[in-house]
Amino acid sequence: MTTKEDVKKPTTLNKKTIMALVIVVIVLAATGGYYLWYIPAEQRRLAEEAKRAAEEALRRKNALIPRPDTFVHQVIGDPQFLDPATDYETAGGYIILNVYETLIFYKGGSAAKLEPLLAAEMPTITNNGLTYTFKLRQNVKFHDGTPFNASAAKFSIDRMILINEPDGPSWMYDTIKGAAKYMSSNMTDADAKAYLAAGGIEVVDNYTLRINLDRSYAPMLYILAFSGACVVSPTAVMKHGGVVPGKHNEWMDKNMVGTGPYKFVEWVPRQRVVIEAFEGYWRTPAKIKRAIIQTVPELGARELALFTGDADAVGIPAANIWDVMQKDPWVKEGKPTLRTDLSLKPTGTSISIYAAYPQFAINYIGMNVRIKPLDNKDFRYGVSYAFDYKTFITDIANGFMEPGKGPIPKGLFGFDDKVTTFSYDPAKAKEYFAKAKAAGAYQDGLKLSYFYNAGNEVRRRGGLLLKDSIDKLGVGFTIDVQELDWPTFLAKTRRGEAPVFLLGWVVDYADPHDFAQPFGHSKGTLANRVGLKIPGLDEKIMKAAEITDPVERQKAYTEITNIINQEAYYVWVGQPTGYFVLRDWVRVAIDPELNIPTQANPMYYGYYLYTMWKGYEK
Amino acid sequence: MTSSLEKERVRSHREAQLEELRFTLHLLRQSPLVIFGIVLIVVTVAAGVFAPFIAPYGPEERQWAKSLQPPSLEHFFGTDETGGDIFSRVLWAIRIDLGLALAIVVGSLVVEILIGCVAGYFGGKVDEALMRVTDVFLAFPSLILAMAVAAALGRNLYNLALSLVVTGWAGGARLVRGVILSEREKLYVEAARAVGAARGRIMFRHVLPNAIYPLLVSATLSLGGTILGFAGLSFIGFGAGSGMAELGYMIALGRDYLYRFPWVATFPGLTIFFIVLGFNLVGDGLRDILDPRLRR
Repeated sequence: MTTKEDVKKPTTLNKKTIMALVIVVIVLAATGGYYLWYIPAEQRRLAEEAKRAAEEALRRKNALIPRPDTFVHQVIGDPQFLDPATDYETAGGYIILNVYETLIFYKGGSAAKLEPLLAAEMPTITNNGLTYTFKLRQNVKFHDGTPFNASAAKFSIDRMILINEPDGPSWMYDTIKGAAKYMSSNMTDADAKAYLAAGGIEVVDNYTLRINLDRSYAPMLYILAFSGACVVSPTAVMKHGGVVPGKHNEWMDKNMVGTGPYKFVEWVPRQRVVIEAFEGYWRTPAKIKRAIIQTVPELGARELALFTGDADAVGIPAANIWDVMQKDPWVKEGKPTLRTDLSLKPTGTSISIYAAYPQFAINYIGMNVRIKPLDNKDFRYGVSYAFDYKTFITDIANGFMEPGKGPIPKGLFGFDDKVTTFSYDPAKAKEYFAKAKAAGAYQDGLKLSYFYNAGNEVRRRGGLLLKDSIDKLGVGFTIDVQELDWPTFLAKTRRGEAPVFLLGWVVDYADPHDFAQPFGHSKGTLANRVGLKIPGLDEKIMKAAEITDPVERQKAYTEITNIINQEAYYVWVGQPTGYFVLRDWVRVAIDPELNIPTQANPMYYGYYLYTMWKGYEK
Repeated sequence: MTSSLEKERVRSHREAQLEELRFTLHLLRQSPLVIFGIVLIVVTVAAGVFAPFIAPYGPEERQWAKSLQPPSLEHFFGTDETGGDIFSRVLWAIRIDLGLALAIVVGSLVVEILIGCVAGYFGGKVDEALMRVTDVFLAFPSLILAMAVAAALGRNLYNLALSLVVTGWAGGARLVRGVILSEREKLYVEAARAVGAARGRIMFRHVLPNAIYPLLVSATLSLGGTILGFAGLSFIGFGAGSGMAELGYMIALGRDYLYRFPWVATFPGLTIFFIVLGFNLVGDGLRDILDPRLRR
């Protein structure tokens, strides 16, 4: 039988337990709440505050950016013409890149991949490479309101061919049906009519364009991506002088009406070009609303503008790169690689030096075989072995140069790392000079002239380096480094009167033919300066341009390069490495596939402003 | 009987000259600026003359790997953009600049004296004609004319020197002519003519030595100006080129490096400054010392 006490015990236990349990629960709840709810909430709150503070700091920093909507770029050279049909130099090419557009263009940062721009899709190529059919984009308007269509495209390319500026880009388009015949004619109205009747460019319908070639031509797509094929407003041209065969349109040389993200505002010759974002652009309008490209030949003035923020970007030659950048080991090694981190060693005034990429340009010393003793091959071999390549790259170009291997630059299809080249070898040089002297090529006391154009520091120093290299050998002759003013220098080299000179060649279109022909073909513009004539090479070069199988084509260009190198007309000084110098508030778009700034595209002649904007956000 | 007059000793010509010299030196000592100028000139001339012995490196000895190094024990003035020692190059450049400037001034002097004397002494139509020719040369802005001559004949040092002679003689010729004109009226000239001296003899033996003082002052002052003109034209790009050691040219090359490597342009510039300062101070001093009015 249970007594009263027995019953009471469980109740006391229960109360105590319950109280204990309640306390435990409260404590647990409190702790749990603290950790699971209060702390995260605090963290969230702090995180939000930090984010807002960062945004506020960013906003304040952005507010300090001078001219947030305007981009100021100071360059060395003034454009020659602003008409894509006639201009064939980089200063004008820079502006044309932003104001005019072609049917197809290079994709992102790639110099190999093309994508449709004014075309709606890549063209279909039929008829064994003789016919290119383009479907064009609709709803595109020119800066003056004229609608873009197939007749506008035909008009633009025909116009460029009819004007046929001898120092311009039209020569590249001579495979278009009827173009070659027209370009070798007297360019009368009758000749023009004959060209138009040949049907090289046809309007199939309002948005379909067909281009017919005389012969199959592998580089044609890249040639159509070059600015010579930019589309201009027919209304604007007809309103201001129309098309006259063989003559410039002076209005179009100084004004621009295109379809590009920027429209032309003004050009004050030798001072500045101003362009403005086109709000009616067929893609989203550009973020930078206004761009001023100023011509400032004085390096000191450009550097000052960069440091004070008066300019957002300036041109800095490689010889002066230490003015804006700390000497960095990766540059001095002589092999700058493409950097993916986007601001290298900003200086105290926050400057970004973006990516180093091999440009499609070749610097070379030409040896003119028309002038003795350069006609002696052993002598030329001597010079090729005597040049101190490494010193040029590390001390004159400050590391911003790839060693040259041949006429075709690294990064372009057709380049072969394993071709036979010369190297700095004083012993071998002495040998070859001795051979040449023994054969009577020259006598002691010879002074061989090396010309450079006044003001060009790299060419001056290259000549002095060559002189020093040869003086060190003591083989009985010396290089006489002479300065000429630009027009004289140009005339002498073009006429084949300069014995030894340093020049550069910049790419027009991303195809090895653009290098093989000028350097190696007896009619090539550079070959002419050195009197190059290699039997059998002309045919090889013309054939190589038409090979479609990439493996065979590469083999052909390797052979061509080896042949040119063997004859030693050129000393391959190097391939300049490109870079751009900007204030750190300038942002550039990154190519997601190649992981480089799109600006590093070797085919850009200047900034493609559409892919840039000003601000500090990443 | 002894007269008071006999008490004065007759001084010989030699003694008179020595007294002149002592007086000149006395004046000189009183003018520290002139002494400073003389010191500057002596130092630079010595530097130029002894350059082959003092300069540690040759004028075009380049060490490419050591370009743009700051002043140090090994390179007192640092190195330039091709690795050349600036101290050595400045010394070698002084030779060229001073030497050519001297040649230019002497060359100009010859032309000036010839034309000035002929114009001043003969007067009349000859004077008119020569002076009009001089006016033409004076009217040209000398820098532009020098540029044109250098451009036409080719860019090298000798053509540059020639062009500076061509542009520089006009002012001096006027000066010579003016002095000759005033001397011509003096009594000693008439006396010489009365005695029967030939015109040439009068001109060169009597008139010219008296006219020499202002010419000397002008020549000294113009030496400084010539160096400046020479360096200035080389700076623009006429004359010296392709790595030569010449002061103006070195400044032009150093111009692109003023920001980070100021020594490349500064030392040649300072050298020009001190040379010209020296000649200007001495020229000024000479004018004061040789002024006849001050001497009596």
